[in-house]
Parts: sequence; C-alpha cells; structure tokens
Amino acid sequence: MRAEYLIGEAAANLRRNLLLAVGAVLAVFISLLMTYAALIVGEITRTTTLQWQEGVTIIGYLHEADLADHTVVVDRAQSWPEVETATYFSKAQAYEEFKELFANRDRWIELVEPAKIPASVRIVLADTEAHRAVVDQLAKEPSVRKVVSPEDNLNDVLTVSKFLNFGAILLGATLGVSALVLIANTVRMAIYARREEIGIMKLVGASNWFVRTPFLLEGLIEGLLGAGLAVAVGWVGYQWLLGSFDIGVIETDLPTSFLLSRGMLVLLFGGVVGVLGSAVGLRRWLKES
Amino acid sequence: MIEVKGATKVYDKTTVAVRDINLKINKGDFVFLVGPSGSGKSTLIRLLMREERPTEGEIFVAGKEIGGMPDSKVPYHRRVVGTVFQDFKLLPNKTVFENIAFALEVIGHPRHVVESQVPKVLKLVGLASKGDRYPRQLSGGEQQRVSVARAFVNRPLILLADEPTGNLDPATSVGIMRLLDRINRTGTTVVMATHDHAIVDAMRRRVVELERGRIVRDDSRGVYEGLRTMEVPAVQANGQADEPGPEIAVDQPLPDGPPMTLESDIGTGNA
Repeated sequence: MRAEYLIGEAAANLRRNLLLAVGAVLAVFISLLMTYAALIVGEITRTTTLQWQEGVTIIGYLHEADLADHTVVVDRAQSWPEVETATYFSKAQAYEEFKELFANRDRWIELVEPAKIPASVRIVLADTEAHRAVVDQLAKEPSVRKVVSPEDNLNDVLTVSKFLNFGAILLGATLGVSALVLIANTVRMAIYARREEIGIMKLVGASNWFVRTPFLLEGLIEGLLGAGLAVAVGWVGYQWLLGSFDIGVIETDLPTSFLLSRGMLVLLFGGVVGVLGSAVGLRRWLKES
Repeated sequence: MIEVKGATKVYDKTTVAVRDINLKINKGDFVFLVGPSGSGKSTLIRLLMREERPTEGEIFVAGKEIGGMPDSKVPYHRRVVGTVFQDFKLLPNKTVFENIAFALEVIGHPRHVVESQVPKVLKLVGLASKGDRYPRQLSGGEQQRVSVARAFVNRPLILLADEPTGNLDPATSVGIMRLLDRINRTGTTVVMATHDHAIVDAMRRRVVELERGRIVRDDSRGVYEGLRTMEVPAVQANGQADEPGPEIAVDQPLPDGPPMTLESDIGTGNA
C-alpha cells in the first residue's frame, strides 16, 4: 500500500501540473538528444579516422594505360628524401581492401568489378612537414592520375567534428541545466499546491522520506521520460540517417552494443538530472519544519 | 510525561518569546496555559510539539529530550503528540473520514487499521454519521471535532491544543471542552493554551499563567485570573493550590464528575 501510495501521489503531481511537467520532460529530452547524438557522431569519427590513419598518408592513383611505368613511379617516389616508404598497391590488393572496408555493404561489392579499381602508389612520409611538397611532386608524375591525401580531409573532418561535438555537448549541458531548473520548478509548484497537505503530514508525524519520496519520484519520472524519448529518437534517427545517406568511406555502422550502452548512460543521466532537480526543488522547503 | 527545564526561546536574536520556563506535567494531567497575547503560550505549545527548538534549556516529552533531537526523529515525536489548532487545519478536498484516515495512512498504518480506527474516533467525537461530508459542509464546532478526532485517532500520549475554541461561539466551545475532557479521562495528557476565561473558570483544572514569557502562576485547580503567587522569574513547583477568587459562580468544577454543566457558566463568561 505504501509503494502504491507513493507512486500514486507522484503521478497525481504530474497530472496536476501537466503543462509544466511536459516542459520539463521536453527540456530533458532535447538536452539528452544532443548528448546522445554527440556520443554517436564522436564514435563515428573515431572509428573512421582510426581506419584512415593506418600509416597511409598519400595515395597516388595510377593510369591504367602505362602499367609498365608503375614500378618506375614507385621506385622514384621511394628515392625522395621525405618519403619513408613507397609501396605499390595493385588492383587486386585494392579490391581486397575495398571488400574489407565495405564488408557490410554486399551490394557495393557486387557492383564493383575488381578491374575498375585503380592501382596506386601509397606513400608513408618520413617527414610529415613535407606533406604538401610530396603531394605536389607526385602529382607531376605522368603516370599518376590523381593524388589523394586523406590527411587533409581527415584534419578537416576532425576539426569540424570536434567543433560540432564540443558545441553539441556545450548546448546539451546548458539545456541539461535548464532541464534541471525546470524540474526543480515543477517540484516546487507541486509542493506549493500541496503545502497544506504537507503541513498536516508533518504535523501528524509522517516521516521526511514519506513526504519527500513522491516529489523525488516525480522528478525521476520526468528525467527518465525525457531520457527515454531522447534515446528512442536518437536511435531511430540514426538508423534513418544510416539508411538514407551512404557517406562512402565514413564508417557509419556502429554496433548495437555501443548504441545500447550509451543509451543506458543517457537514461542514467536523465534519472540523475530528474532526482537532482527535485532535490533542488525540495531543498528550501526541507529546512522549514 | 512532560518536563521543561529552563527553556528559553529567542526569535531573531532579540525577541524573547519565553524565558527560563520550568514546568512539569504528569501523565493524565489537564493543564491550561493562560495569559495575554504575546505572553508565550503558543511558543510553549510550539516547543512541546517541536515546531521550534528552544534557544536554551531542555524539554523532555515521554522520556525523550526533544529540544536537541535531530530533525529526522521529529516525526516519531509527533506520533506521540496530537495537535489541535484554532483554525482546524482540515484538508478541504477530503471528506471527514479521509481527513482522519490521512493521519493514519501517512504514518504507515495499513488499511484495516484505518478502517477500524476512524469510525471509532468519529463516534467518540459524535460525528459517526458525517464521515462522508466535506469540511465546508460542517459547522465550525463540527470541524473542530474532526480536527480533535484526527489528533486523537493515533492514540497519542499527549494532546496539545492551541486556542481550540478561539474561533467558536461559547456554546460550541463547551462541546469541544467536553470532548477534550473525555479524551483526558482516557489517560491522555492535555495541554491547552486559551484566552477563554469562562472555560478555564468552569473546568477548574491546573492553570499555568504566562506573562511576558515567564510563568507567573501555577495553580492546581485554578481559574483564569487567579492571585499571582509570584511576580517575577517564576519557578513554581507544581501542585500549589491557590485561593481561587472567581467572580463567576462555578456550579460544578469537576475533575472526575459526570457531564460538565458548562453551558450555564459560559453564558456569563467574559471570553
């Protein structure tokens, strides 16, 4: 009868102040959606860049026509003092890599013929400072069709994603604080609405926890609702984006365990925000006997 | 049952509400706290229910020192002390039955206790047929009965009443006093702060008079305006009977006698 009573009271508080409660839930939701999204995007950039950074700094794709010159280019590149290693990467090797990179995209693998993937020379720099110079020099080689330097793109991606991540977390934290304040406010309103009842409860000897628990539960429910909504929307949104845009080489497919563990984290965070918010709301009132 | 030792309460560091109160109340006593407004009656009640902490001194209730008691223990103290106020403090959105049941529910009594105790206490206060009414549908006297019922449903050792008849007309007040007397006879200690001369004079119970925060008189079967036994810092041993000098004839001052006949007295009272 006790648990039933306490939960019933919490539910009654929520109903009585529905508008305010909805506001608080939405604030938690938006705040934690930002956080969840930031966690997902952070993981995507992390796994993607890890893959890219496997020693390759510059790739020179070679013309199909002059197969004979391929070794010449590789040897010449190897002779440059800024270069540590220059390796020939044949069509077959490239195809193997492609299959590995897109292991979960069977359709792509089906569509691509091994012969269409160009051979390349892959250069690892001895001196990363000389990056630009090597790129330019390699581009001048007649058998090189196109020079790709993942590092350039990588740095851009990293900077942008760091910036976005930081922004999302900052915004999420700010909204988190506002969510906390909103929850504190709903709890305070609920206390105010029931001040007579609380006064009598204290008069007849209801224990402090008995008086407080419905309000703490109210905050907890608001926090968890917001967090649950954030995880649900974040998860569904991510799946939808995954299905809608194939962003080529970016590793967008995260394991479910990651989404789940971070989702739990977000839920936990929502619960903490909720309880903390109601604790703040209860604080001033608790002083008065 | 209650022992106050040198209790002083100072508000905001300057206003002394009660000063060096020493008072002993035995189990089953019925004590009136009298005195003009601001004399410290209400403060003393608030100290006894631990709504306030004494600035100095100790207060023992049912064997426990409550002045220095941590806040977390206060609820348990409140369960041995019932309280009644001038303004009834009933919840308007609950019926009479629910108002009384509420007091049992929030301290964790199971439903079967609520369902057996509430009707009993409703009967005791004479409202057996009005359990499903709302407070607004009752007269002031009936509302105060509900309030007494709520204070008593938990069978507290002590009943504290702060001006319980303050909002009621004399005839209705008599009914409330009968009820408190009846509760007192069950062995419950009753401490009542009041301005009501007629009631005090008719009941002839122990009277403790306060003036500017000090006890100035303590008569075992006193009246409202008795002879002062002392003017200044009063530490008065209990039980020192004083010559009562009442102008009002008290037909039947009864500690133990059957139904009080307060009505006739009240009519001429100057409450």
